[in-house]
Amino acid sequence: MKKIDAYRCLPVEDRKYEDSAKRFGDAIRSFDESDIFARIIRTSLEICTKCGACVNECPIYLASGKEIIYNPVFRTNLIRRVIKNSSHQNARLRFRRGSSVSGEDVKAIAENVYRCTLCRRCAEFCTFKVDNALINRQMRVLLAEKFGIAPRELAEDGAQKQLTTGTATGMTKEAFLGILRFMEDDVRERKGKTIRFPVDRKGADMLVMHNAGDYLSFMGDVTGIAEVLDAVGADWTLNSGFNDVVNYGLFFSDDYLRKIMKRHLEVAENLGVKTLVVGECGHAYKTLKIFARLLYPKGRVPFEIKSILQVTDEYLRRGELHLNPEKNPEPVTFHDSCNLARMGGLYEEPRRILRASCKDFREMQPNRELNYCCGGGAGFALMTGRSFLDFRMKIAGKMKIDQVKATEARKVVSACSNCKAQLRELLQYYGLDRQGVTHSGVHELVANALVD
Amino acid sequence: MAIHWILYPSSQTQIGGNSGRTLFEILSFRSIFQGEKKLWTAAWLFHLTLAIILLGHVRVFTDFPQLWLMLGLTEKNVDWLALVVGGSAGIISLVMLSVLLARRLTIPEVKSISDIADFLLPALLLAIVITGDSMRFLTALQLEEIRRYFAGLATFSYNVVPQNPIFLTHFFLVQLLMIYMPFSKIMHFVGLLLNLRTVHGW
Repeated sequence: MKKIDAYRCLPVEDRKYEDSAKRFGDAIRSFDESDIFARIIRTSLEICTKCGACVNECPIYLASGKEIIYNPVFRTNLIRRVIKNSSHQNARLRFRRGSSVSGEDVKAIAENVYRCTLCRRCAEFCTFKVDNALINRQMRVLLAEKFGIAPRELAEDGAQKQLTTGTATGMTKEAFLGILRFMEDDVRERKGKTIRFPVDRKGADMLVMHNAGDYLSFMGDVTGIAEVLDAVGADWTLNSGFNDVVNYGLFFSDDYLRKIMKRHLEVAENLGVKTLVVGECGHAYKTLKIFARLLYPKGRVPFEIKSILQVTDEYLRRGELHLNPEKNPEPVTFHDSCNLARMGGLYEEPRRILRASCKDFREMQPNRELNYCCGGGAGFALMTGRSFLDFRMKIAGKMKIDQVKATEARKVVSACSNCKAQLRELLQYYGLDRQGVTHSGVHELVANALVD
Repeated sequence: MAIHWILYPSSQTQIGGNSGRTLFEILSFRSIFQGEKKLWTAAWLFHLTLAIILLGHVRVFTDFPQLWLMLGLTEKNVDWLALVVGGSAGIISLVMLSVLLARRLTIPEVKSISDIADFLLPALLLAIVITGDSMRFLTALQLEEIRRYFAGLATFSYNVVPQNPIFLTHFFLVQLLMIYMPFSKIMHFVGLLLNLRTVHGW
């Protein structure tokens, strides 16, 4: 039976898979003993009744025309079999310790865990909350940390680069300050108002950290956030050193996750801020919100961690922010990013903001915790390696673009850089941009709707 | 040495925080309901009737004349109630189990993820339900004899096993199921308490 599709995303040769297969049983056993999710994964694998409730809810499976290899349980089955074959108990039962894992198996697992966007929609439909995404994610961790099998875009060009240069885009401090000056000029020219970007101010209330890609690709949201915070007179600052809030470790490596998050938390501690505000970035919000407490004794983080959506929403509800929805007349729809909504619990905040700043707000169906992933989750939005872009466009993003089409909105809004990047490419690929459908971040619209 | 009582995985919420939601999930299968309705109907009805049947089996081992007296029921009433409720539960669970097995055999996406154990387990349950139903409807079973046998087991004084062949088959298959249960996916009824709202809810 076919275990693997025609797309490839990993820069790994077959020989490496063969070598890895020999040590795979040992890797699984040490994973069983040390990984914090190991017991949850063991439980999940053992109690899955294979009822198939999740199968028809996976956007990738549906978009592929129900191909068996994209079935979330099929993928988990591959992993289940390997774990069962290499666990202590089963090895003892069979009176031998070695594992019966072949290079083909490792290759199938390695490629298949990179066909899941870790959107966790399947777990929403499971009564036991068997979390296929968590299983896939920990398998990625195992492959990356034990065997060095990881996509180049995430490992070398992402996490490693971020740790050495401070941003995953490789931007220097001078370039960063230059971009800020450029954006100040840009807003002055376009809107005739002066905004300022405070940098490295110690003791400010809020430290805003953006996804570094936003400074290059989605400037409207960076300036939008600055305009909003200026309009309410907030005490805030950016930082110039380690200023990229992305954490690609979330997608493939616990080691990188810890290292990068430590740097983020150090920045906030050194500046002595009260709140660390994550800009429009989904996975960064989830990472800091959920995992930051693991790095402090007793889980007490010395500052608050918020998303910019929560901050803007608070200003709006307190009546400090005045918006005129007439300034954004075109129909707008909102894409719930998995990391912000399903995993971060931010459902109503962006909706309140958008209803206040847009005249015609439309819901996608389904929405909120049942929303489909855009297909750019889990690092996919960065990954183009080999033939992976085709997979992202043809399969991973198809359900999303169908949803967008059904709303007949002229603008797709998202509060996550990964989603925005994926949506931009999807709109191009499916030709919606030629029909005038555009994408945007939340704060670009908010800034547009500001009452002077 | 102090003994640490740790619930694994330790809960992040206060006592009672998610228990209402968890209980609702267990009783209603809400997650499946928001997806595939056919699967939900079959699965929920099967589990409901299974609970009724398990409860009814208490009467196989012992009777509660005091309780019936308190509730104002006569022996005849109770037998009639057991026939109607237990009988219909037996029929419904038989139908739903067949539906679930047929679904696994016919729908390709479910068939492709099933291995042999996934077919054998419902087949075993089906055999147990069929023998149980035929005892209920086809044979005039003497409960007294069976009760005496189980009372003997509990007090380590052996009484002769009732010689009804259908009962013997039923009893044998149930013991088979009880042996297999800890190694099978039936453990989902324990595992769900470890997984629910701990992996997913944060």
